[in-house]
Amino acid sequence: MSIEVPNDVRYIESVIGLIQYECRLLDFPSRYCALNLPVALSEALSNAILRGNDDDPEKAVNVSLSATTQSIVIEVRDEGPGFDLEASTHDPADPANLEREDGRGVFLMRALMDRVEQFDDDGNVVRLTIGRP
Amino acid sequence: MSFAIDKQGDIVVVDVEGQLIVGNRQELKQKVLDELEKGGRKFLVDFTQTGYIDSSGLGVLVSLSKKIREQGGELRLANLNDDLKTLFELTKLDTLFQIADTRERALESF
Amino acid sequence: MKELVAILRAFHQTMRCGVSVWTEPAGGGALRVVAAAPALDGLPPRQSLPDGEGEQLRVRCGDSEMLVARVPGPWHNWVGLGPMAACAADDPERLLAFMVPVVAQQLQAAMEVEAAANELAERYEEINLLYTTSEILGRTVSLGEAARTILKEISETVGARRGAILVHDRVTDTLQAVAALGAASEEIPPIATDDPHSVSARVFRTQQLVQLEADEPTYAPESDYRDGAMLSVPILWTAPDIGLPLGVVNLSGRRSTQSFTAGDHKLVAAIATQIGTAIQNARLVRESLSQQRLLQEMQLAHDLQMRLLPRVTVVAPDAVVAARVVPAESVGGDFYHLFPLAAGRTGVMIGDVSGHGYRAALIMALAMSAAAIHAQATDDPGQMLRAMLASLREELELTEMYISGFYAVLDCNSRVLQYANTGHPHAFVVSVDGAVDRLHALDPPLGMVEDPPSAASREWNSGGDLLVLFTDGISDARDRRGRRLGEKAVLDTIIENRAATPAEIVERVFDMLSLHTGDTPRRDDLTLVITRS
Repeated sequence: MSIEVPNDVRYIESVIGLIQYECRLLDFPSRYCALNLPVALSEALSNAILRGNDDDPEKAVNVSLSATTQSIVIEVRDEGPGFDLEASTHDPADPANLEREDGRGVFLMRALMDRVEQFDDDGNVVRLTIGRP
Repeated sequence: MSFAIDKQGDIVVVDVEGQLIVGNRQELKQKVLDELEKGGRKFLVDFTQTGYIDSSGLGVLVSLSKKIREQGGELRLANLNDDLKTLFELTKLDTLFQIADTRERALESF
Repeated sequence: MKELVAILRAFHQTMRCGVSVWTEPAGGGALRVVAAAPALDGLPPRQSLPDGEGEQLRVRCGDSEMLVARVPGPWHNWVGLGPMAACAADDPERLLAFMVPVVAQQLQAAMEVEAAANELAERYEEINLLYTTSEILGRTVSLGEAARTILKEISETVGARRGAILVHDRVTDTLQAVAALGAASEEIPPIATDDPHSVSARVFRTQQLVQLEADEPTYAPESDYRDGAMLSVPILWTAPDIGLPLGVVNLSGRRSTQSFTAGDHKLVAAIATQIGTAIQNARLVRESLSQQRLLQEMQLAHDLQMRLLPRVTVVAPDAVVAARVVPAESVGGDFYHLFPLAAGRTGVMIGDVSGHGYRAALIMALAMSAAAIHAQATDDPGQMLRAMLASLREELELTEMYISGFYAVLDCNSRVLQYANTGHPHAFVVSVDGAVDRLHALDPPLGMVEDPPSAASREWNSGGDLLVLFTDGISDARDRRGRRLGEKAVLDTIIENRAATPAEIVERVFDMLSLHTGDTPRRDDLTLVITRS
């Protein structure tokens, strides 16, 4: 399954709704469907829309889902040249970062997914993988 | 997705209905800042009806908490479900906010 | 049609007489062979075939003669025995009369699917009819029902007024009547398979046919359907290397005083094998009912889907289109649609319904019908998708499905391409110089948000530009090591071959795709539509 959505953050919730639906169909744990996937995907999508595509309304984001009985893999593809996923990450364990407003996105993706990869394949792709426990 | 504001005495209670994410966090921020402007100092955000919160949603809560404290007020949270509690624990934000199990307890705590 | 082929072959081998089934496509068209054993050199002329029910005619077929009867029902099908010169049967008329209902039963399911698809394509309001049809087709015909039909047919053929079909019950190890003629099957007592006095039990154990003459004694549990001579034939399920006994067919009460003939023996034995297959199938179905249902649903959905797609020639001569849909093993919801519009304009649509299975195929069918209606009403692609969404909204909400779709109207006179794109990821214009312009999604998929779809336009170089539409099945096709084919590989192939005809380009892309995937199983439908206008 793969869809393209216009480069607008207001579509994030709908896309996540679809993924949650698939997640429940696949009978993954409810926490995965209610927390891990939605939050990680929201991070990946906002990165793609705001950073990868530079909030350009003329662009679009491609989201594809491939699921097996054992794992769910989501790829978020933007049209940008790629951005440094790690550049704006801060360690929340460091008390100095506690009151920062930003910098939790990539940390959350990594904490909530089994694997987060970034590569170039028809555009900049962030791939999220979570396996059945 | 909306933010319902209700006043319980001098406490401003905000119900987050649906998600708190990048697409709507500004709306929450604005509503709370408006109340702060109007003189509100005690704020309670109730998550009973909340789905998920992303990092920008967490960011807004952190930012609001700071702004309210600067005005001598306080922002407290209530009714985080297990999933949301995990999210706050992962990001250590459970140490930044005072979090109550129920709305009543949160109201009493002010 | 596999089963029909097997039945015709078995018939040919047992009776040493060829048999063929022909059909005339609905709405006319040339007669064609559905199945034949052995293969025939030619076809009889249509006008020589009988039209009345029960009528048998000898007709010329190539160099020989065949005995032909019409299969009853709303469809135009015939059964032909022969060539008669090579037919060893001594009573071909009786054999043909026997074969007609057997073939009719086999053809019915296939024909109902086709009729349902036609119905659906015409009027999407009648989609509910399809739900019903699928229910009927998906329902397992009960063994008792099938056995009664078979027993009735077989008795008439061999002239028996009494009889019973006994089926082995594996729990109680008894033979139980599932159908009877001249008695109520539920009153017939079960017979233990080791009963030393029962003919049926002996036939079951030895897997050998037995003929009791009229003067031989009647065993009480078999008296309900015994009247004079009785023919008792084992029902076998023959798989490679094994013959599994499943039951017994008993026939008695012959009209004439004569005993059953060797021809009767052969015929009943052949039918008993068929019953065996039916019983075994019924058991397998019972044992994995849900799986079987699922497979049937998928097959039905597939058939429907493929039948609904338009021929690419409908938009000629304004546009030259090549399209190919390769369905995956599990049904996806890919579709394309083409509309010849007024004054040199052509509508081209591609879509992918989320989800799999029968529901996705239904939504796809619904979408195609809605598109066909609305495409005629407006030339604006945005309005067209808006109208489609209005027609489908309820279904989409109900099923929690959505459609990523792209619709373009190409105008070869004013040289403008107008399009609307709701979530479709792969839409491009490839120009003569090899430049690629991506036609982005302007809105998310239909059914995902409330917003009405919008439209955009660009220039269209008639005769030069190619509109390239494909679904994610193509770009996501994996090789043995799990690597995606990728959008770029597809576009590169198209750019390289851009001077060729759309049909040639489609061919090249699929060649390249097969090289990439090898025999790796496909997980999604593959759809590619290339248009030049």
